[in-house]
Amino acid sequence: MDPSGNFDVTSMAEGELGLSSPSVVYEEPASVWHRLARNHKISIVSIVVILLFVLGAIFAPLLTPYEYDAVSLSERLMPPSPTHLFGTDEVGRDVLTRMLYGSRMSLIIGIVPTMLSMAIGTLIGMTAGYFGGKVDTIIMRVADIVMSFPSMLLAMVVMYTLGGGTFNVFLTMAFVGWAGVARVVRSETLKLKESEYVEAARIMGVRRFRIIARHILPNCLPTIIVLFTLDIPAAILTESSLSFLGMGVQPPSASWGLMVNAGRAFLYHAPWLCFAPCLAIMVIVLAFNYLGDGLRDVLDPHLQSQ
Amino acid sequence: MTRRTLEVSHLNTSFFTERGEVKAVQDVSISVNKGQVVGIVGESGCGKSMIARSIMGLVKKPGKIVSGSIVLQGKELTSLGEKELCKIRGKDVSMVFQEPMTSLNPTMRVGKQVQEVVAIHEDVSREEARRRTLQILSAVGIPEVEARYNAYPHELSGGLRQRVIIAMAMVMKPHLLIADEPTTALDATVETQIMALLKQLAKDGTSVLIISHNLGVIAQLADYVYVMYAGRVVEKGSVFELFDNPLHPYTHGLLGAVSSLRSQTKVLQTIPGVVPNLAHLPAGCSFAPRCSKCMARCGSEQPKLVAVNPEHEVCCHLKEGADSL
Repeated sequence: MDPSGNFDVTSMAEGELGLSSPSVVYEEPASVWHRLARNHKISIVSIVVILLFVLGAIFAPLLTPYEYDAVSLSERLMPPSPTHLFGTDEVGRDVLTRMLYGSRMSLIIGIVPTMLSMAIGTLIGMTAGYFGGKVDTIIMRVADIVMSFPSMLLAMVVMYTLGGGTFNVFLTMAFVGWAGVARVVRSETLKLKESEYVEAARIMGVRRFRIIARHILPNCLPTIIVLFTLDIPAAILTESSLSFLGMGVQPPSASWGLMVNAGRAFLYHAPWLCFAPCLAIMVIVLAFNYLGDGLRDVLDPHLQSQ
Repeated sequence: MTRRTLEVSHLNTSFFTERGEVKAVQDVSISVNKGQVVGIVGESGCGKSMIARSIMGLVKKPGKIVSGSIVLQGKELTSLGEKELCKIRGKDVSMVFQEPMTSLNPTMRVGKQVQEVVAIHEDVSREEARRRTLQILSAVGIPEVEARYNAYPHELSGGLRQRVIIAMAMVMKPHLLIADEPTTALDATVETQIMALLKQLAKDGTSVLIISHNLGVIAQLADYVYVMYAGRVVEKGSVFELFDNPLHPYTHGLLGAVSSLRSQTKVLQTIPGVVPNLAHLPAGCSFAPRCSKCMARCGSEQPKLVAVNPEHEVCCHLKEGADSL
């Protein structure tokens, strides 16, 4: 205030109201890792387990003295022993070696098609959510159909028509997986579309595609990451099931599902043939599920209640 | 009329809902001159914000501009397509709104958000865009701009965020800035600062259209005031005319409902009743059911805006009658 008693807001704004000093300093929110470590210790354990599996898959040739397809008929169906930790199968191949090589297939099939369906689902879901109207109706009805069709049956049909093999497994799983992603991303987009900062961007003259790319997508990412982590184990299970049914990866390639199928015939004589790959499937699926749950709690408070 | 920034004439904006046409804005004419601060005041739901949205071309479905024209710097806006409107929004006309807490993208650094506006409207180098961003950020009174440029919205206080939003709106030096309840969500000290900033912008030549239900804000900032009720302008005049000599019973009511440190009365006046349903407006004057001076013809005949003096117009049968007598 100046001496004459006039209330000079302009000078006040600059000086006396404390603008020149920095405003309240906010505490940096704890990083995702910190919050995970504090509230979800099991997800940290899961990350370690997943890393071990990944390392095992990458360094498989260094970790085992055997070849995954080295047949040794003198060593058929040997029980677990120091030389063969998980025993050997019906033609004398080392089970642990085959599991290590098989984890390559399981992890790749867990991750690559899931990424593919994430990308497709996100794109489709955001288009439907943002543009709405007829586009939305058509896309979402197609998604409903894909989702209501038994996915395993659909996968089998595709595999039958296209034949087995890794690439076709990729295609099939992406084809089945996008619909669920599209649904979640669409609802998220619908919510964000009405948010004030998207409105603000529109008011500043930002075009639609830029709004989607810069303002909606980054804010969808936490949801997408959680969905990704939770979809990986589902994909691993689907791959195992397809391979178990003989429609996935073809021998002599190793895959956990294939190994369970092969071991089925020797369930009474050599149970380790089935149990070892089953255990691996269970552990990796559990690890991804726990990690996904942890990430969901940390990244996406909206999903917590579900 | 070369100094006219905005000329809205006979604007009608309606929502076509299942329950019929809701007339949010009816026959509204507003003009804003260069460097002038024009205020629109009224209760919630009286159509204030719909005028702003109509000007920005952002009326959401099922809403639509039914008729009327909006001329900004000699250019008719109602006939423009989405692409042309995108070029005008943020460049020639900008808007600041109510919620500084949620109007910034939480995943983008605030500097980048301001810079984005420059980047989409003008083909300039990144360094130039950054330079202009820093310049406008310090012009709106943000201290330590270099550090703030890299801050995320959650790291700033409400007042600073509102300044960033104003910077975003002002970075292209628009002819017209629409401020829709710019200080409602802020505390009183920050409100004073933001109002001083808006005043400064007007002094520098930007026309400001300020929308508020807060008469104090309007009285301090505006040069000219429009009072709205149920989608219509019921009274307009220069700020001194209107506050010293309110003519419409509704304006009277609004002014009576303001608390003042000096007033002797213990109980605040209120206007009885509620704003009528815009889908079923009464036949005559919309304010008639709540008006203490309601006459027979008010229930059947819509009054017209009449000038009581060059700086003051009112839309009330009481005044029409006074003229004809």
